[in-house]
Amino acid sequence: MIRYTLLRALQMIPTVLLVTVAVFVLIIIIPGDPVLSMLGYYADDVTAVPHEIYDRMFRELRLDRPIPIQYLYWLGDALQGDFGKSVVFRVPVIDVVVSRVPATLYLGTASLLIAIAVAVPFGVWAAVKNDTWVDHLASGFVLFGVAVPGFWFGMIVILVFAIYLGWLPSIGYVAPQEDFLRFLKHLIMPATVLGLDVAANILRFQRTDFLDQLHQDYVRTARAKGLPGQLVIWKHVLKNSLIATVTVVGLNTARLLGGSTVIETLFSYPGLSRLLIEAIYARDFPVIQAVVLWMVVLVVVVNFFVDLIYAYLNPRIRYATA
Amino acid sequence: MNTNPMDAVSGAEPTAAPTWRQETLTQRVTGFFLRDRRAMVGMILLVVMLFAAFVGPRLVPYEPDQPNVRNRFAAPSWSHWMGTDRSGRDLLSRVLAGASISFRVAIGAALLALLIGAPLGAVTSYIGGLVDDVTQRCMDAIIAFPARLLAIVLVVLMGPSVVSLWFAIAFSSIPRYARIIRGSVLDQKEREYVEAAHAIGEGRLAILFLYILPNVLPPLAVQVTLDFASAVTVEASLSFLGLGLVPPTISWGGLLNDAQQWLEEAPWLAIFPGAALALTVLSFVLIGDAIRDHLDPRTRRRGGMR
Amino acid sequence: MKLRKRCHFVSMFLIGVWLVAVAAAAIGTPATGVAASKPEAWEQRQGGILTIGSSKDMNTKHPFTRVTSVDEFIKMMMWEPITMYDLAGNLHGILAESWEPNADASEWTFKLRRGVKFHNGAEMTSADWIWCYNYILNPANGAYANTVLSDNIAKVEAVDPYTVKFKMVGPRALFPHVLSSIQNGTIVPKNSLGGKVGEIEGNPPPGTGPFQFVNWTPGTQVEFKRFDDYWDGTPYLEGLRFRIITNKAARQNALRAGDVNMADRLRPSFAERVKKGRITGIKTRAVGGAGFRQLYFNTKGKWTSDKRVREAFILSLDREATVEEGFLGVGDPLPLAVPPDSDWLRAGTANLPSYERDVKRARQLLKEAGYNGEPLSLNMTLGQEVALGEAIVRQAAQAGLNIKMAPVESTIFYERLGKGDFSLLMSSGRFRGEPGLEETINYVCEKGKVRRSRTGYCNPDMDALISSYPTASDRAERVKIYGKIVKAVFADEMMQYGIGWSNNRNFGWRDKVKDWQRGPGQEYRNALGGLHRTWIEK
Repeated sequence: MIRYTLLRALQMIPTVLLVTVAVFVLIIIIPGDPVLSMLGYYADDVTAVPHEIYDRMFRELRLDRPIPIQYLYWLGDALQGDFGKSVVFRVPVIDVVVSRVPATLYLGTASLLIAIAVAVPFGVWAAVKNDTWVDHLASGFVLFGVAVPGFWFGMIVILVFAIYLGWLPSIGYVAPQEDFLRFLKHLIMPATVLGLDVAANILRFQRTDFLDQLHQDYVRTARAKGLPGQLVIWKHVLKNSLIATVTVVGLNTARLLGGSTVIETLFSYPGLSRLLIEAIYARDFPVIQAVVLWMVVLVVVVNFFVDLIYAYLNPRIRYATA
Repeated sequence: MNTNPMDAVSGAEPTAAPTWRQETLTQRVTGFFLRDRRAMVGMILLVVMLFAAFVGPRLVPYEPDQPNVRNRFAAPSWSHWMGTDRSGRDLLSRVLAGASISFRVAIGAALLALLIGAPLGAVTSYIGGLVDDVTQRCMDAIIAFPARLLAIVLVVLMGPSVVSLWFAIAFSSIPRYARIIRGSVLDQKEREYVEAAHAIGEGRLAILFLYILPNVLPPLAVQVTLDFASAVTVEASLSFLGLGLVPPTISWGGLLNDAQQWLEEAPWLAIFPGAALALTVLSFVLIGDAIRDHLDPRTRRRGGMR
Repeated sequence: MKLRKRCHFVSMFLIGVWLVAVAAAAIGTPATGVAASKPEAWEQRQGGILTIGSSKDMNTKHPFTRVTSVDEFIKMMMWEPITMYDLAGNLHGILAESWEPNADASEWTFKLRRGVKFHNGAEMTSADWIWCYNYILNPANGAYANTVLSDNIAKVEAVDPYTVKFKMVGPRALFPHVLSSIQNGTIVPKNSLGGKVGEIEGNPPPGTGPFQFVNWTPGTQVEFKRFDDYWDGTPYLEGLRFRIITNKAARQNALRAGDVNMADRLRPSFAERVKKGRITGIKTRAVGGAGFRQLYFNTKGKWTSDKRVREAFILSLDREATVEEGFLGVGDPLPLAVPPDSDWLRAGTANLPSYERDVKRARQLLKEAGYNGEPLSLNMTLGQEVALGEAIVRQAAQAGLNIKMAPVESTIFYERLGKGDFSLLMSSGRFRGEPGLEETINYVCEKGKVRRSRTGYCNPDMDALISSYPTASDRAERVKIYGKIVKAVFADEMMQYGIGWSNNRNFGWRDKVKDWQRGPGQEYRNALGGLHRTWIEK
């Protein structure tokens, strides 16, 4: 297991490095003058900036160095959590990013809990009641989740619960330490919309895997030995398909921790994804770099752990790789 | 969807399967759509949406961008089936106009991903060695980016237009095509008939196209269909975020963006474009799932909805 | 204060009269110069935190960067300008008590308000003024107002601790108007800003405003707490919390749900529902005098450098129809950013052709120019009316013009503006009492070279005309010059086209918020009855 872990960790390195290159290149290929924006000038003031100030900032940003050197400096700084200054807010990028992390974490955790609470029992129930109305309902739910875009579903939910019924606030975020009840009220709609989307995703994988398992040799063997169908399903199939569930939950965790751009936008929820969209509108590239890097590294790292768990649950994998 | 009239057909001819070999490709495909209820429903939906997108705009009495300031926010009625928007424009005409944009973006993006991803996967895996390794790591890096995030970043870099949306959406699907092909090439490379072809002196490319490609066409077809679905959604999300197509170009995402601002005054502005979007995605997903299950014997069952 | 002038807003006349009356009552007891008195009914009214849904963020912690109306509103809680317009458009002293020019207005002497304390406890004196203005005037500090102030001030000197004398570069009759914005010189304690351009480490420098800075979460919220020693009396409110909610619908919902107690830029349809009693517990007030939309042509751009193309564009538009469609029925078509029925408007329109829509003539002009449907870009910010852009694009298309709308965030908007990467520009304007001053801000040319010009146009005659405006101390003279500027810009060169006022801005607040005044022309700014007089009913 240790060998597998190390091997898998080593594999992660080139991916992460390539991702950092891609993210760094962002700032090279974008139009615009980083010096002007760092100086707090709009570009139509270009003639107003004194030369010596411009040159000083040019050197401070290391723009006089060759691009690969710039990359190394940038990477070094980034590893220490220094992503430069936000062009819009003129405060360290890391401060802006960190201020948005809690909101996204709360939303991500809440939707993940909702997703698991819906998908796992529903999946098991549908599997046990194979080919009955429960099963069909699960199929319908999966199709609904895949076909209906979250932001549209979110709008309908806002329309019903916030506008027509007036039960819930339609937007925003209140920190839990400020007022826990209002925190929950603000969280419930975006978390449910996002959670149901993820639930459909989990259920879809679960069902494919479940059907896969049903056709495995061991099931046939068990059935041939005369074990009753229900028992086979409970004892063998569900246990095995749990591996798939863990995997898909893991993959979705990465997605949720990065936040959902459309849902955070729809609900004016001040999380990381919303920050990303705002930074994109404003072409605040240091912020974009930091958020994108965070999201991508999150995916890579979570995938790493998912693989480890998967290998732990399924010994065949780790021997095959090792 | 239990009242499918084609139930009778599939039920009446349970012995159709063994005679497959004698059927032509057209017959096989038609037979598949007649036999599988999901594929059937998906196909009907798709045909309706395509008809709406490409013929519909000619049938409606209003131009999609013709304002009528005296008729702002009119609720759905006989003269405006889907109501009107903030400038008094007919929503039905606008949803239809948005449909053709959606299809153009989705079809373009999916085909572009196929045209880049498939040859890339085939060539690099066939060459093997360092080229293959480097490509694989690049593909890993692309996959690490959440698809929508990648599309957002790319579309911002390239500016809002249909062509840049093709590239932005296609980019994240390229690795999937490359992987499908790669898996298949590695698998087939060792097969006897390929070795035999080598022996009789066929060139590498000829082997690739004559022997390997035909075998990977079905999984590619599934992937393209499912990519249509995701491309429609991604395009709508981008335009909803104001990053995709900008007005006056009409897109479903753009309509929903506008609708969000008037949710209370005019809920119909949100309901209809969203429904059109959902039905289109549904049609592709139904067809894609059906084909996939049909090709994959492990999950193939007696047909019907799953 | 001989710069008093009167403006008549026909559409807002009644509200105006009422507000002036209220405001007059509010200044009935002028500040005596002794700091920190407790205002009336203190015990019953004090306390509470007012949460405000704001359409924009405060953006920087630096007092001398460019401001827009919304972020200035937030910053003015802690930093105050020297002068400020009241609800009727008259100039009042805030950090200055009075000011006097010499005979030709080439020297201005300002008497400082006494007993003004900074949030750090120090008293404001002329030393702080001298330091702040020298800071802005030093180009190495990169202050935004450098361009404007170096065109006004030659030297600043202290006469005594409470008197400051500005030596101007020439006659500058409108200097006190220039100082009515915090970007052109609020006062912070001397030596409180470092050498790094545009950057502030830690908290922003203390100001003199009724509230002091607590913290700022960029893009999310800004918090202030009461400043007990505020010169105009301790504020009732214990604190303010600006929550940044950029989405209009979201802001409205937040106000309704009580998540915020006040919100800016609400829709007319929302105000309408409040008026009809379909939404209760909320009050709204329309804000006029802001939100004028006009188009600028890039005279250095491809095609738009051809006057015939510009004229064709102007002839392709129907102003009335554009306003009706583009402002969703709450617009006021007007070619110039001045109040209807004002002498400014009369002087301006006297020199202006009526520009009746004439598609045939437009097509003819385009043909002569050799234009054949090549794409032209319309640079506009995201917040601006998309509906307006759509109306313009469609009407122009009927004359054969192919205009591509490009709604972008303001950073990119200005970047394109700076690079001249646009054919047309949609920009907003305000009326602040001196329309000619707004024009001088948009044209700054030096020795025939553009320093700041939206249209890219520079011409010595025009320069002379524009720089003569702030030197004229007689108002009638300025009205006349304004008329000439309008003729040159709008009629002779056809570089600009005014569309009209969009009367679609509304402030809203919940019933329990008391004593909150806004007025015409002062969407966010006000000299009197600001948030420090506001209180929350318990």
